[in-house]
Formats: sequence, C-alpha cells, structure tokens
Amino acid sequence: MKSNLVVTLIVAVLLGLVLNEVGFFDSGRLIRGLRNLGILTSDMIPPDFTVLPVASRALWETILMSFAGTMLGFLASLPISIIATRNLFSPPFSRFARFVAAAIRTIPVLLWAIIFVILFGLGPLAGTFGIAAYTVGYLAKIYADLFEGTDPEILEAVGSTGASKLHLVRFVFLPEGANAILTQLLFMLEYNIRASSILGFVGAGGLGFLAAGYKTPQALSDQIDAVRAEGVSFGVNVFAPNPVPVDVDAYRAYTRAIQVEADRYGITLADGEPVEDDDYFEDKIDLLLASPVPVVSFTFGFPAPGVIKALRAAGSLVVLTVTSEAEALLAVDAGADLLVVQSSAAGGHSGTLTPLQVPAETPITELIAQIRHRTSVPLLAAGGLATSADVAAALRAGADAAVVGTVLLRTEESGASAPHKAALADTSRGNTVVTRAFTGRPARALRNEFIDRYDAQAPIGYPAIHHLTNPMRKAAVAQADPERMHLWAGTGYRHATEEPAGVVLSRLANL
Amino acid sequence: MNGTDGDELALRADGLWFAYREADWVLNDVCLSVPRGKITIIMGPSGTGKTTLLKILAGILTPARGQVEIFDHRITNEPQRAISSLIGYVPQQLGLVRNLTALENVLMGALGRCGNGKVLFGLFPGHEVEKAKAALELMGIGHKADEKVFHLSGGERQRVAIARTLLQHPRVVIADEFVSDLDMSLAIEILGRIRRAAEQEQLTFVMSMHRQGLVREFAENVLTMREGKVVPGFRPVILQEPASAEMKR
Repeated sequence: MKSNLVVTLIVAVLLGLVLNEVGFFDSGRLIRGLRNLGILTSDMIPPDFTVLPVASRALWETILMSFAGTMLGFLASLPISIIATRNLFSPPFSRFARFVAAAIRTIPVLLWAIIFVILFGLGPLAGTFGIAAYTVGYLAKIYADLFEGTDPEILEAVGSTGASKLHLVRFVFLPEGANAILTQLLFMLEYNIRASSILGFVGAGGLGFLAAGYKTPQALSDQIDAVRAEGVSFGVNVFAPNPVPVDVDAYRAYTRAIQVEADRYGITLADGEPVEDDDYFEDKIDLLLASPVPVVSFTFGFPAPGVIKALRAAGSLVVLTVTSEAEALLAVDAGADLLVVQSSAAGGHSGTLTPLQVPAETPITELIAQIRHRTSVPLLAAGGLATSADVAAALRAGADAAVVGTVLLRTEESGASAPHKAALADTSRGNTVVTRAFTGRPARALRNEFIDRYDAQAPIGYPAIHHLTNPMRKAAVAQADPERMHLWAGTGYRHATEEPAGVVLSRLANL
Repeated sequence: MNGTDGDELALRADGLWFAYREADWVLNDVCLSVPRGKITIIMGPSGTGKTTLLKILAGILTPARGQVEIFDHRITNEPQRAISSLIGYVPQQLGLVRNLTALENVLMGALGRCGNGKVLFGLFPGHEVEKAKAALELMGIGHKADEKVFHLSGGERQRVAIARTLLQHPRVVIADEFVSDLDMSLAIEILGRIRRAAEQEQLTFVMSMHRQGLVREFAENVLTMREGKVVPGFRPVILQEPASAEMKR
C-alpha cells in the first residue's frame, strides 16, 4: 500500500513538472489563448464561402495525390514484404528487406515530400512520391508480419505439393491475408489524405514583399505594422543608393523636350536643379533595425557592409538583387544570405549595379545555372516567370524559389493603378521594351507614345529623371492616360489574370 | 519385422531420431515399413510424436539421424518440389486456403507440375482443371467446386483436402488424424472413398488415428507408437489417453 502511494506521488510530481515545462501553469498564456479563441471563432462567423472554389479544387487534388501515392506505395510494398517474410526467405534476405522498410519508415512523410520536391520540383508529383515512400515503409512491415502469421499447416500442406515461392505468395499468403491487406490499405489511404493536406500547406509556401521605395519612413512604418498585424511572414524591399548624377545640360534639354507632354495636363516641369536624393535610405534602415522584419532585400545596389552586418545581427535575412554572374559573386562577398537573380525579362527597374549599360538579355534559366555553379547561397529566380512551366524550369535550373511581380499586377489584391491594369489586359498592346525615358534607369515597360517619342533622347541619371517626370506621370494616371505613364511590365505580362493572388500563386506552384 | 514380409514396400524408415529441444528425443530410433497399395494406420496416445513422425515421413521435417525411402528414393533432405510426385501430405487441420474455392484448393495439388507463368494469374491448364473436377467428383462433392472453403462444412473440407492430394498424383499419401473430428457415419463414408481411391490409383495411405472402430474396419496394416518407438500391430491397451496429455506437436 505504502509503495503504491509513493509511486502515485512520483507520477503526480513528474506530471506537474512536464505540464509546467509546456507552459500549462503560465496563466498569461492561457488567458491570451482564450482571447485568441474568441477572435478565431468570431472570424469564422459567417464562413467565407468565396474560398470554396479554391478549397474544393485543392481538396480534389489532395485526394488524387493521396490515392496515387497510396497505390504506388502499396504495389512497391508487396515485393519488399514478401522478401521480409522469414518463413519464405532466409535471414540475409528477410533481414535486409526489413531493414529497408524500417529505414524508409524512419523518415517522416513531410521530409520525404521535401526530398522529392528537390528531385521533381514543387507540385503534386513530389507529394505523390512522398506519400508513396512513406506507404512503402509502413505497409511492407505490416504485410511481412501478416504473412509470417499465416497458418503454418497451410504452408506445409501447399508446400508439400511442390509449390514454388511465388505459388505460395499467390495461393496462400495473398488470399489468406486478403482481408487484412485491404483493411491496412484503406487505413493507409485515410492516413495519407490527412497527411497530404499538410503537404499542401508546405508546397504553397510564399513570402510577400513590401516596397519601401518612394515612400516616406512614416508611411513605410505604418505599412509594416499593418502587415505584421496579419501574422504572416514577409520581407521589405529597399532601394539601395547607387546614384548616377545626371548631366545638367542634358537634363535641361530633356526637360524642355518633354514639357509639351506635361502641357496636356497644365503642369510645368521643375526648372530648377536636378533632385539627387537617396529616398530616406538612412531613416529606413534605422526603422528596420529598430523594428526588425524577417527579410530585407535590396535592389539597385548593395548597402555598406556595416548595414548588412547590422541587419543580420538584428535577425533579418539579407537579400541582394543581382543581374549577372559577376554581380552575384560580389553579393556573396558582401555577405548576402540569399540572392534575387533578376533577368532582363523582369518588369520595372533592373536591379543592375551598372545602370549605364543596357542589361544583357540572358534567359533566367541560363543566368540561374551560371550562378548556381559558382555559389551555394540560395537563389531566388526573378524575371518573366509567368506560368507554372516557367517556375518549374527556373527551379530545375537550380533556383530555390521563384519571384513574381507582373503576373500579380491584375489580381484583386494588386495596388497597380486602374489604367495600368487596363493596359496589361489590352490585347492590342505590343511587346515590352527596356527604357530610361521615365526614370533615367533601365526599366521594362509596355511600349507607349512617351517611350516611342523620348526614349532615344532620354539622358541617364537616377533619381533626377524620376523626380523630373513624376508629376506628369501622376497626372496621366489620374486622367487614365496610358500613353504618358510608366506601364511597368515583364515579358510574361499576357499571363497576368484578374483573379485572387492566392489562385495565381497556387497555379504557378502547380499545386 | 512387421508381419508384411513378402509384400512390396512403399515406404521404409530406418533409425529415425528427432528432438525439438536438445536431447529431448521425441523419436527414438524409429524403424518402420509400409506395404504398397494399402491403408496403414499409426495409433498411439496423444503426445507420443505421431505428428512429428508423419511430418518426417512427408519430408517436411528433417530427422537428426536416419532416413526415409519411398519406392527406393531417398526423400530425407530433398527439396519438396523434387519429392512432390512421390508423397502427398494432409495436415490435421487440412491446410486449406479459406478464401479460395474448393476447386482452386484442389488445383494447388498441380502446382508441383506448373511453372511461374499463367498459373500466377489463376489460369491452370485445361486438363488439370478437368482432373481437379474429377477428383472432387470422386470424393462426392463435385457440386461444391465453386464454393469458397470458408462456407464448407468439416466433412466437405476433408474431401477437398483429399482431392487436392489426389490431384498431386503422389504414390504415398500421409494424413494426420484424418477423420478425428467427424461423426462416425461421415468418417466411414470418407474412408470408404479413400479405400476405393487407394485401389483405383494403386495409392498407399499412411494415417494416424485413434478411433478403434474405424481402425478395425479400414486398417490393412496397423502400427502403434509408444515411448518414441513404433511397434507393429494393434495394442488396444495403450489406447487409453493419459489424463494429462502433453502438448501435441
């Protein structure tokens, strides 16, 4: 009696310690949890039925993936389980087969999926193989044990007819085990449907970026707070100062040339000195250091080594944008955690370090492959990626993720202006071109009258030309005049669709 | 030695020793001979090693010492496929596959003659199927050919097991406690069919049995097992089953 009491006490104390370890007695956390439960519940009422089409499509794919994976795994598990059956095969064979099954089983289904994503890229194929692998490990063991439990008298009786091993499998093991084989298979299918809904979450991973460019530090701070409140992971993209001072005479000549366009809106372009600012760079960095975000990316140039070091110390991943192999090597030396590799197919500004030259038109896959051979730093492919085939090709070439912009411009969530969205949908628009006419820095846009008239005479010089043309462009947007605004667009702009961004991203990831 | 001198011998065992645990001899220098074309019955109380002896005679177990010859072929240590044309075996619980039909179970008797080809898809040669049906007819259950064994009664299962062995065309059939679980009239009917089969096909039967009435009616040669040895003849005195029977092997 006394020892029973002692055991009970010890168990109670251990339970208390374990509960304390997981935070059971932290009343603050418990109360917060209850409050969150209230918020969660109120968010669920009324249910948002607009996600139904997306959700049902995903559910259907999940079931297909689970079914295909389970069947593949089942077929592969049969030979392994037969070899693992000790009353059919001698120990070297059966032990090896059992070891294989156990080794496969050790790796969780999620990890299998990741392994197959590396081999086949994101999508249902990797998920199917992941499920198949886990199924093999599990069913091979269950079936081997099942076969070993077959009534030995049946084996003796049928064995004495001179039956071969395959005969025994076909006429004894399979029919005798049929019910249990089917039961385990159905259980596995059920388990896999649950597991693959988790796989879906993993596969659909995405990371949104907030633009810091052309915003005041206060506006940026407000937007960071708003995104952070959503509880999602995100990054902030900053223009790193890489000024190309404009030639003042060329600046004045250009100002005079394009004034006729500004006249249409009754605007007089600035006649004074060119504005050479740094877009509040220092203030924005201070903001990001004071209130760190998960990822900070830079374009147009690399910040000073001290800035990169400070951001990393603050816990942010630092991403540098490069447009060539040479720039990539410099970025790695500068201490980048990840590289955005941008091809000239990208819409909007090129991130090139040398804006004096027109960027080479190397396809993204080639660019990625070149850089992949030189560094093990994760590469994010950007530029012209508009279909799931483009994304898959970039990943096959060695990219770790794909970056898209243009293909999202027409989505419901996009902040692009109405005339910009309309121009992207306008089937009579032709190709995109790289121009300096709007900002003095190479950027890809849909061709329009302004580019056709002034691209040839536009001087190099950023940010001076940007500030010069800015009032005219704003007026053009306000009057819905697509011919005098910057219609930033990548080469794949025709694939941009008017859909929720989640649908577009899921399609690109082939989920 | 066993009163069958002059008859042709179907099976001969010499100096069989066997133990499941070291030095715990279940068979202790067993010698026996079985005349051709007759029904030989081995009697003896439970736990005396009858099942072990029959498995050795069928080539399923290998004796520690000694050997078994069937029609002058040594079967000890031979792979079962090589001896399946000599010897057929029906275990005590019959060893039928319950999820297959009676006919499919009978066809398994032909597996020793079949390769790993069409048979694996359930396609047996036509002549084997005909012979299997004939074997079921001979055992009186041709009408149950397509029933799953699962649905058959005990007596019907016995007939299926014998039909399977008949299709195998062995020269000696070994059956363990063959009709023990059946009521008397059914046992007599089945043994009658076996006797006819034995005469028709020149088959030799070796079975273990403990029902004296049946033994008197059907045995043409009786051996008794006792303390790990086999002695010829009918010894009714030892047929009293010991109260605390050891676990039967």
